[in-house]
Amino acid sequence: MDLSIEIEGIHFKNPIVTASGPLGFGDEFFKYISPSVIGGFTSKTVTPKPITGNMPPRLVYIQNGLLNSIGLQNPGVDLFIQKTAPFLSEKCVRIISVGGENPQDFADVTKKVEKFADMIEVNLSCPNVGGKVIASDSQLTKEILSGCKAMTKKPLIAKLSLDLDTVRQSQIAIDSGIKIVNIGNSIQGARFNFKTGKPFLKNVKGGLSGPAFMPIALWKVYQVKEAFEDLTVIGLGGVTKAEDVMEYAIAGASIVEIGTQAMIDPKSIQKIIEDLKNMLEALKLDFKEVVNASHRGGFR
Amino acid sequence: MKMLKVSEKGSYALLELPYDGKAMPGQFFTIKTKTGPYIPRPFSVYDLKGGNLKFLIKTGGEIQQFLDEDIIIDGPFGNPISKIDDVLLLAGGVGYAPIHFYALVYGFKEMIIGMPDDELFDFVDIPDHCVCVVNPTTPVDLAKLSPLKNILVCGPHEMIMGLKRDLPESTLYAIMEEKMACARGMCEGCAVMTKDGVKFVCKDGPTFKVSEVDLEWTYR
Repeated sequence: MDLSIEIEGIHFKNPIVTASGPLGFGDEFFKYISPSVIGGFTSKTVTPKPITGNMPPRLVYIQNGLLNSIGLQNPGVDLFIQKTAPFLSEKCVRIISVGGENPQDFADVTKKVEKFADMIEVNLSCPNVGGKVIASDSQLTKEILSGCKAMTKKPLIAKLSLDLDTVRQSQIAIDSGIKIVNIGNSIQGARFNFKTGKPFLKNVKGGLSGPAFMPIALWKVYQVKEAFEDLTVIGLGGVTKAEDVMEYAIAGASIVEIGTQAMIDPKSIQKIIEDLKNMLEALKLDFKEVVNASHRGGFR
Repeated sequence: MKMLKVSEKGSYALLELPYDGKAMPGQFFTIKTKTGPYIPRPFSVYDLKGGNLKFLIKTGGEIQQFLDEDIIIDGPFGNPISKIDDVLLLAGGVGYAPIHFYALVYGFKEMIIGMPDDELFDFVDIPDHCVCVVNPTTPVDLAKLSPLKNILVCGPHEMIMGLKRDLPESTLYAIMEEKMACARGMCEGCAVMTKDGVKFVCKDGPTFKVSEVDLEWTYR
């Protein structure tokens, strides 16, 4: 059966794309798995200036999940386009994630990275920098998305926040001319140490990833796809196996991203893709026939 | 065959697994099972000989509920430590694990071990000619009396900070332990600030020259 899917003129050999963040720029990840295996790779977010990232501890282990407070650590766009971007493998779709504090930052980074990318993801929702996520400001979001759009003809992805109304954020993205939304970033959370009375993370909050929040992300994907049938949705959050990929597709996701699982066991991604193919063969369905099945009354 | 030995009051465990590969002092493995934990947990090697790999584990964490299952290890990760001449080994609590393995492979001049309680003291193998102290005396107090200037330490943050403060003339190497998710240098979770910027325990360490580490940034 066919796992491939076409998004805004970009061909993905399969719907499995790595999520921005956990795998950095792929130099370590691709020691374990070939880029020819996955549909696409999303880079860590690149910002105008280098960012050191948050002070440790940066991680809190939780049952069925992980709370992280990395803080967008990256070398800055100039070093990125000099040392990393030219070497991103073209054996899978190259998605570069861009970030910043204001519309000019995003536009500048987009302009600099666009020739190295097949798609550009606009990170509106990092849970670990500043007091609130960009996506909480509708006007700012519009200006950022419009500014990025003016800088490139490559397809743009708006990466939304699960902490906010994803339908409303999707409407803003559509109004700004965006046709793909990523639902979404890790959800904000906190844990406290009952021995010290302090939060585990210095910034108190972190981003929750892992299976613990998959039902929330699935619901948001379903909800957005129900509201905007023509909008392309990328789903992610807590995927550990092929069955999870199927669930995201059924909910409405055309692309399914994997982050934490790819990080803790890079080789498992190949098995997920093989298992997905076997599942589709058993169902006698191509992947694109699974996408959004829940809104069509299930498989026919 | 897997063996699990638990200390008298159940506070510590020694996990022994068959392993036909190699590992060097300073390196670590991650441990998980088919059912969890979601994030594999990193543990320094306590001992490796005769095809048996041992880890010293402080119980009470999430990993404990999985120790009776079939264990899946991944590794070794991290950079091996080279032999340090005329070294004073210093350990605190379960930080004794990598120090114990170093001592087995390379030997040592002097060793001071700080134990939080008698239970750990009674549970682990301690070579002859070591000094063990139990709270409130600390290994740092005794290290000041040693003529040795090369020190390899693994233990609580306070211990490493105390050594740097109280023994400014010594050359300190610390086997650093931080929470990590990937153990491969991808997640950037186990950050350490050095004079060359942010480094990672899993990829660049776990052993760092303490004079090159900003302990205030890393531990405060």
